[in-house]
Amino acid sequence: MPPQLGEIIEDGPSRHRLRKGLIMVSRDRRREATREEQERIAAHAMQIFAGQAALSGYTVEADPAHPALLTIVTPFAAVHTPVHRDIFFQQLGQALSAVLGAAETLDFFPVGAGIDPFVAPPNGQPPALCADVHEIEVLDDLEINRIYNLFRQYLPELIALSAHSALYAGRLQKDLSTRMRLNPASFTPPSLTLYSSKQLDRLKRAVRKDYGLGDLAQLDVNPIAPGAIALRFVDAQASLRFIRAQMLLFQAIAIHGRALARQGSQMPILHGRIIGENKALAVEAGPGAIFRPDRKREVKRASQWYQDRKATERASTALLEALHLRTVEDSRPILHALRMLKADYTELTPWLLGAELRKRGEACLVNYGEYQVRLFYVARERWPAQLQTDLRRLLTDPSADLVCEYNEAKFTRLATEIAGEWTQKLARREFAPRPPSGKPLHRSKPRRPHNRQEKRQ
Amino acid sequence: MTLPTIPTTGPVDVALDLRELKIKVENKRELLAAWRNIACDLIGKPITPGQWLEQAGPTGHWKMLVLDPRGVTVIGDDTLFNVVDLGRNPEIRHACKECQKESKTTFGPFFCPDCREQKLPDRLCEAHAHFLENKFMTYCQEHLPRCQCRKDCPDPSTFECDRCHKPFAEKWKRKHPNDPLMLLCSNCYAFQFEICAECKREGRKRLGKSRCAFPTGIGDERHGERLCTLRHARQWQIWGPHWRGVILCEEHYRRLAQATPADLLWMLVAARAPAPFLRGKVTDVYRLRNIVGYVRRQELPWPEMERTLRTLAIRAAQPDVPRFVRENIEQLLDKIGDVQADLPVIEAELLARVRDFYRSHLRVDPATAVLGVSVKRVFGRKSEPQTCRIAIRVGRDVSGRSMTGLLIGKGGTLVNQLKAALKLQGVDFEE
Repeated sequence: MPPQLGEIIEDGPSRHRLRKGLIMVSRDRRREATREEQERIAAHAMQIFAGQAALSGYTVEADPAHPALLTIVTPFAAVHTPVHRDIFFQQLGQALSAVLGAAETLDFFPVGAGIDPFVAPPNGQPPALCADVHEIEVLDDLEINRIYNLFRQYLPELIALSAHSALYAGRLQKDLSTRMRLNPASFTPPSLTLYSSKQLDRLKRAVRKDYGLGDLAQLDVNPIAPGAIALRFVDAQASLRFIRAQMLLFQAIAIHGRALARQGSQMPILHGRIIGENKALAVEAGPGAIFRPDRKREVKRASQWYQDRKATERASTALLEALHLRTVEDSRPILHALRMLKADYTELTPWLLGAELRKRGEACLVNYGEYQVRLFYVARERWPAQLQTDLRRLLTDPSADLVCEYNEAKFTRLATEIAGEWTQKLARREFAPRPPSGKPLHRSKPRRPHNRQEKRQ
Repeated sequence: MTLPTIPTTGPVDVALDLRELKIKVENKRELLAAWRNIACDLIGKPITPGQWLEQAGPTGHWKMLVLDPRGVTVIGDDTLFNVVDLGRNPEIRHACKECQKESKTTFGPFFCPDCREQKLPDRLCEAHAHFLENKFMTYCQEHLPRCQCRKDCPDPSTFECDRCHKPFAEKWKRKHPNDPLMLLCSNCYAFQFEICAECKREGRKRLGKSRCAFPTGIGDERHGERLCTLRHARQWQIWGPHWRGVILCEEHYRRLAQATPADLLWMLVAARAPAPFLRGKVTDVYRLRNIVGYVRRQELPWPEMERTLRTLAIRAAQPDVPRFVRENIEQLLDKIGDVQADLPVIEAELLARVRDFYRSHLRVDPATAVLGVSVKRVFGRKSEPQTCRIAIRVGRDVSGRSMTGLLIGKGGTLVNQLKAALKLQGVDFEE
């Protein structure tokens, strides 16, 4: 008897790689690491990695762009079940502990934030801009096209969720994502209606000509990373649980894009100007940003998405709406992709609970940008010491999440209610979409005759 | 730290890639059918996490990524597989229109914008899509733009000039010297980077942004020598002192007075007006005749001007001549016919009135003082009351002295009275 097939998922997740950025700050929070110190920490961390079998394939890279930046690069890992994700984050936690250990030997500690909250670089030097780059493995051009366009469409919502650089050089900044504001290599991705790796030179030339951008790798969603799509817009995060929740969301969007590609659907394109405007709002206010709809956009189907309703919407709520949106008539929503990932509510809690509470009008926290702001106001004098302690705990403990803890402690009843609602949603079976008939989907009904003359005809 | 462990027994998690399989796989039922062919090849193969297994057979080529072997090292008869993701070819909702003509169904990711505009089938596959080198837009064979080097060039275009944004054939392609991605047509390249011919002779390197516009006599062909604006380009200021005129090289500028009326008139009618309100000046026959007369230092007779314009009309029929030149010449020919019919009568009437005026104001015989009157310029539209500027041919008195001063009067009193009485725009005196 030949080998048998068990469970079959038609459109499932692909492997995931994380480039986790860290800023090396001295333990007295007075200076950042120099180039020599950066290289020594990286070398020491690599030695520790070599001694741990679980970290084979993990590397630490000293960022050539800034002496205070280190990047932990994971191998492409399977994240299709909660157990695999547990392993991934345990290993990442181990790698972070190794880097922490290496840094502490030189009296440094790693900061997982978009920008250094404690120290400004010496005069004339650019600030350390630190990102978590998520890379999602892709198979072909069609997948790249759809996944890229989906990430482009939800870029403002995702930036709002990822904003984590409100504190810089001991002061509160006017933007929740100061990193994105200061980053000179961040460009809003243009829509790609035609993508072909064979025609990449033409695409580069066209993007350069039309948008003045010579390097596609500088797009916030980089479509030309080898074998993957790279998400460059994510501020470095402090909590491993929050990164896990983000990863699930990114993988779910990718699954949705993959399904669109395989069912041969073209998705409607959102105007670049609107995405640019909302991106700027997201950089400034994070999950609290009020997004604007494209009022000139042609709506083909009524839905609860704010762009279809043509109403302004809060960023965190817009993201919740996106989870339930059917991008084309016969597609399943992103929520279905979360089910394919066998996502548990507790895995998504770090941002989902905050977003749901915010939707209900509660004064909660949605992400770590807001956590930084709260800490700054609540602990005026002692926030640097408190933040340092929190960052250390968050980076080494995969189960710790301060945003979640705060929300659950403050809104216990609502949190239980939301947990019940979402546990049901994630367990529910999605009805299969209408099978394509080969005829146009948006077929207009024959018009009824208006007058007598038409009736006679 | 202890890591969570994956159960070492259970199905092997894999991602299947069946995009190059010849059997159609679109759903679970079709996958199970295809699996029967694949599964036989798997038995006995060793597996490790992250490994790609692949096999090419009569049913096509398939690949399988082992995500988690769950402790299985070699695939056996009883190994169970979980498919985490099924890579398959997209359902073809947008088929290539060219392949469909050949009774094939291929996915068409590209489209022809012209077909789309005409609401025709527009999808194209990679093999049938035609690209311009520096434009990320596809065309079908039928709508691929033609080379724009001239009006009826049959060559298909291969690139779009990044300066003039017109499509051109491969032979006209030039690369920008500092930016290899930027493609220029030979005209734009010459405009941007060719050196002034005169400066080159003098051993200097100054860009020749201007070209001599003196006609060679064939179509709209010009001398075309590259000239630097700073030093070697000369201007024939046909639009007045404040507008950029017709550019000429030193030689042609010096010999402008010896140029034929045909060449001069061609330069005038084929010049692009620097401002929209100046466009009408090119079709003013009196103005053109005055300019030609001024440059050649002798008046151009009306019949000769008409003959010249008829010759130019034949030259303007060439395909490389812009349409506005043809239209200008046609307008001029219409006007010159009217002028030649009406002008002798008008001039005779004006002569009589001028002589009457001077008879009543001077003691001299007006027939000896005013020898003739010619109309130099007419102002106003034909439907409205028109005024004109005239030239009076002045005679000499018995002692041989010019009578111009007498006709002008003390401080210009007489000439001002004449202008008021006859409602003239201006009066010139010729001897």
